[in-house]
Amino acid sequence: MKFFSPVFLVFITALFVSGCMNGSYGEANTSSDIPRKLVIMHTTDTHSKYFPFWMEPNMFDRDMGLSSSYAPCWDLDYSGGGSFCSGAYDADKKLFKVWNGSVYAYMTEGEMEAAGVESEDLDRNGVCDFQDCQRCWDVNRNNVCDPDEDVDGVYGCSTADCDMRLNVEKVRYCWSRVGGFKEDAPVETHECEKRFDITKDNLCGFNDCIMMWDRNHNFVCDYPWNGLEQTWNDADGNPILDEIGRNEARSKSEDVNKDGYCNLNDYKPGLVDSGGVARVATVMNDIRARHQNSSVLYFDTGDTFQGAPQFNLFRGQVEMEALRKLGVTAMVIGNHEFDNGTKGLVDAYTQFGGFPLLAANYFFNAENNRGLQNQTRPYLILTRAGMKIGVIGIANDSSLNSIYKVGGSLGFNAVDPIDTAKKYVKMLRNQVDVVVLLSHQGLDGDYELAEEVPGVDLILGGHHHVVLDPAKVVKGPDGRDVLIIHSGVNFKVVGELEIIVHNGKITWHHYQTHPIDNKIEENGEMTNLLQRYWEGLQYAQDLQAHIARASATLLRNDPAGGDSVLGNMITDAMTIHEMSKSQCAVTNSMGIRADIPAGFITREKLYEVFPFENTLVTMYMSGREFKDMFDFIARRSASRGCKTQVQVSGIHVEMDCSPAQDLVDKYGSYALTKELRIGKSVIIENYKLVQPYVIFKMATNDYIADGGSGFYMLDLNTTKLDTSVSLRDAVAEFMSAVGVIDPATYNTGEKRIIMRN
Amino acid sequence: MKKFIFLFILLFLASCTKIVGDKPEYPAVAGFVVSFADGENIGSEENRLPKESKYSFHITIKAIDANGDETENYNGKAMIKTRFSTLSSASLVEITDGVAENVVVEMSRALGTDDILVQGLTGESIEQGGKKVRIEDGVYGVSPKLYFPMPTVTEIQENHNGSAKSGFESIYNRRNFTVISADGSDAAHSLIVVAVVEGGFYLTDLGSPAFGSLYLYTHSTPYVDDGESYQSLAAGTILDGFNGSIFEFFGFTEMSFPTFLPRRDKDGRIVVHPELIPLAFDISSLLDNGEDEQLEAREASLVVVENVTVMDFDETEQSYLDYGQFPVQTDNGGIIMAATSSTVPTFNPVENKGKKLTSMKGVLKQHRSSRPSTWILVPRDENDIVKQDK
Repeated sequence: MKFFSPVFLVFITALFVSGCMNGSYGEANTSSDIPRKLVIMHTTDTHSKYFPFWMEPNMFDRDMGLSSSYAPCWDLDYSGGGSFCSGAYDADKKLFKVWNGSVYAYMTEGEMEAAGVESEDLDRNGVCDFQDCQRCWDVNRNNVCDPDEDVDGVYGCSTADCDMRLNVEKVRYCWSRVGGFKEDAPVETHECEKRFDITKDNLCGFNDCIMMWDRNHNFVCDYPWNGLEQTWNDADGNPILDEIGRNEARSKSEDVNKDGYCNLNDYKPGLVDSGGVARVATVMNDIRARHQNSSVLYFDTGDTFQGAPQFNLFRGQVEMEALRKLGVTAMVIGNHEFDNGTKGLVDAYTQFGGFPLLAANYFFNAENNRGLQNQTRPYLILTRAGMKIGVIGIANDSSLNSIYKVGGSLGFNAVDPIDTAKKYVKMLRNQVDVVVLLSHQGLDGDYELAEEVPGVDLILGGHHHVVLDPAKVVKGPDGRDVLIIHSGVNFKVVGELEIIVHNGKITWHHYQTHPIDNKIEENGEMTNLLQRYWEGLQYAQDLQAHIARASATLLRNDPAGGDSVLGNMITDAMTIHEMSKSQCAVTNSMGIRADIPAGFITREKLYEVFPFENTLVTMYMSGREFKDMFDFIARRSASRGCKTQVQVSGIHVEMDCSPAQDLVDKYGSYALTKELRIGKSVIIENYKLVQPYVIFKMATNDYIADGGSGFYMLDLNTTKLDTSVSLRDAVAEFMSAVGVIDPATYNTGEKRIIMRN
Repeated sequence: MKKFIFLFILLFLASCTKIVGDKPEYPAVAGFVVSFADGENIGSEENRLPKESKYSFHITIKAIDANGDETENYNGKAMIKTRFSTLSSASLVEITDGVAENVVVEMSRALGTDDILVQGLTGESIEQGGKKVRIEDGVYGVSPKLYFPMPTVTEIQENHNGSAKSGFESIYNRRNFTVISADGSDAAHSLIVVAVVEGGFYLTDLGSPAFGSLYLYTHSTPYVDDGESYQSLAAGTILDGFNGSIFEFFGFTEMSFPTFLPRRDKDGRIVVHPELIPLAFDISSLLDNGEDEQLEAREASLVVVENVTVMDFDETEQSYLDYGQFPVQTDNGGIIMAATSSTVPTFNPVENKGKKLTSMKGVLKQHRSSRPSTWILVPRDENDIVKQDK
């Protein structure tokens, strides 16, 4: 038989080998000349904010992204920032001006309704502006500025009128609309016109102002907290005992502060109910459904730990479990992943994570990396949509607080990110169609990676808490367009990037952010996963307990870059606490992480202000040590826009961010302390140290006392005493004793810190 | 021996099966080739298309299989999308037997570099957030790049929709651009940094007195790399070009997260000419008369108000606490907000209530929700505030 001939066998073998070869190599090669689409979901710096939180929609913050629903607030249809004023009213034509994608069309109100278009020009003045946002002044909701709605009588009806109604100190304005100005007189029912008694309680009271707590405007207190049963009540006042009911109640309860009632204390003026990983799950499921015929990846770029009480209590368990549930494809390590040490990360990750954890630029020490080396990898190669995708992790190296102390005290040394990226990109470039860097280097670091590392297509970044929307396009050293995206902070947004890859390059992209707020339904499965943690938190922390009340907002930053109201109060508390009584106090500004809005201050809020588990430390410091420390602070502040990097008590200091060249030469520092006084003692006068040997007792926190954030001079001090008293608890104790915190007490006009630029 | 042959055939088939099995998600049609009609001018990086209000192109869409060969095996609708420009023609196209020929694509608001995406549709849709969303079938194609003209600062700042007051409907919103100077060259000699502030800087195109200035938001204090170290960007620096995304930030036009190229001399040093910074334009009368459109023309540029009084204001208001803004008033009643806290921290607005200033100079910002004026003056340093008793 010819079949048995050697020629035939060679032929068969050749066919076989050729078949194998096609199987091995065909995928990467054939994919490049066909346009392929990838969808990448991106989150970063989620900082343990896995439960919804109240957020101030600060118009100057960039971490919501420029296309978010909060900038500007009247952009009801998310048409993209302030691009289009949908349905501006043309008074001459008596018609609404509606953009149909190519031209403006004029419509009647009925036509708009039929087309499903909502006018964003609520007050019909021809433009979409801030007055259209909430119109809280429009008490009777007739879209007209009635005379008695212009509470301040200054600019017509405006948000200023809302603020006044909501401002506890100015409550008389609300009541006095009926009976004239009766500042201290009690308001009687007979003075109350029916239409002002919105709550139908026969009183014109503060709750009638706008009932902001009544989210669905049904005049009912939905799901009040039942303290005795430790659960919520249904509409008939009965406790809800089954899990599904509890989940629903938790998401819909209007009794936000869980005091058993719905009232204005549940409404936080100007704040937005934001974030929440259960809402994130819904958005991600929607994205996956929309792109069901494309490949959808999800990358997180680090700092998933630290920033909410759940991390202090559960030590990373919630974050890892929820990220796995979200289906994260890979995550790069951020600096806050080490806030419980290497072991803390490894424990949480190995028990509850398990998804790919990337860090190409960590060089591990065999002995003490606690197994992290085995859990991380420098890169991944994924095969999706007929393409190979190389994903390299460039973890954080600039903010690892304890690395300086002993080389590799975390069990590894971070090596140069640029060199690392060059090495791995060179290795992968010819094997894959797309090279993606997951980076926690910050915006500037990402620019450098894009400009210096050849062969990169896409950088997903984090660390700086900003949104880059639209995606930044930077020319790489090989002429390749490199896309950079950052997707905010705290799960305030989810980024969605669509890319088309053709012939080994990204030829088309579209990036958008999805704001996460209470307009989004919570995903039931994720809510169930979080339920036990939520209940554990409530039980362990009593988070809604009122510590004190702020008569006005306590700001953590000073517009002039010097001492702040909140910083002054905190450092005052440090100097007078029984365990840390001192002549002065210094704490790092970045350790104070949130402002405190006017109203009741809850324990939960204090966790936002102090997310870190810091303790009070005392030490004795000489005049020379103070000079070393404040010259360092001046340099650090100079590099950050001449904003002070510390807050102080018992100290008056002037720092010069750009001293004259002769002073720089003389003192060997590009930024200097100009004046320093502790109590009445002058330590530095006109840049000169005049009392090097005088000694003062100083209170500080254990983080900078151990040399964190570059305070090495404090680490060398041998008189340190760690009181083990939590900084958060000390401040809570102080606030509780004061009762009502008035910012004026801590902003007396005489600045403690003056910054000179 | 028969068994041996049988085994070989089995092995061969197995290897073939692997080829197919590796690509289960590949549709029979793997992509589209999108091409322009022969001779159609689509511009180039060096030679961009002339400025037009609307452009019309003719494209051909051809389906290809996984080997890159044309195939007739595609029938259905596809969607046409542009990246930045507005699509003025039909967005749905019917593809028959793998081809749609001579499809007219009209694009308006076209600036910068763009392209055309064609994505196949399954014909199904799902409802999300009250809207019907069409489901893509996983077949895509992108046209070659189209090179439209780049804008000047003036074109970005000017409002093209007749509502200069709001400045909100700029066609440049949320777009990435390299900006060129008024003389039309990419390597502009006339773009000069007029002020540097924490988080950004202001520049002026010296060739365009009106609508010729722009704020560039850099997130942190802007710096330049001089080759050996980083140094602060200085007022008076000449830029050869810059690139970023345009955004209307509450009425204030800015370029966010820019990359910029300072001009260097033959020794590589950065060229700084503070003497070229234009003189401040007096806006006192514009404020007096509420000339918002003319003020818009001066947005982000260096301006001055003369003979103004620091008005009484509530220092517990958030605008002062958070942003250091306070109102000043001209003798004729015009009001503008001033913000001195970050640039002139030694000026205490509370202590100066009721006091008269001979002049206040600075860059002009706008914020739509600011009250009592939406216009904000930011002095650059102490020299920009001249007190009357000085």
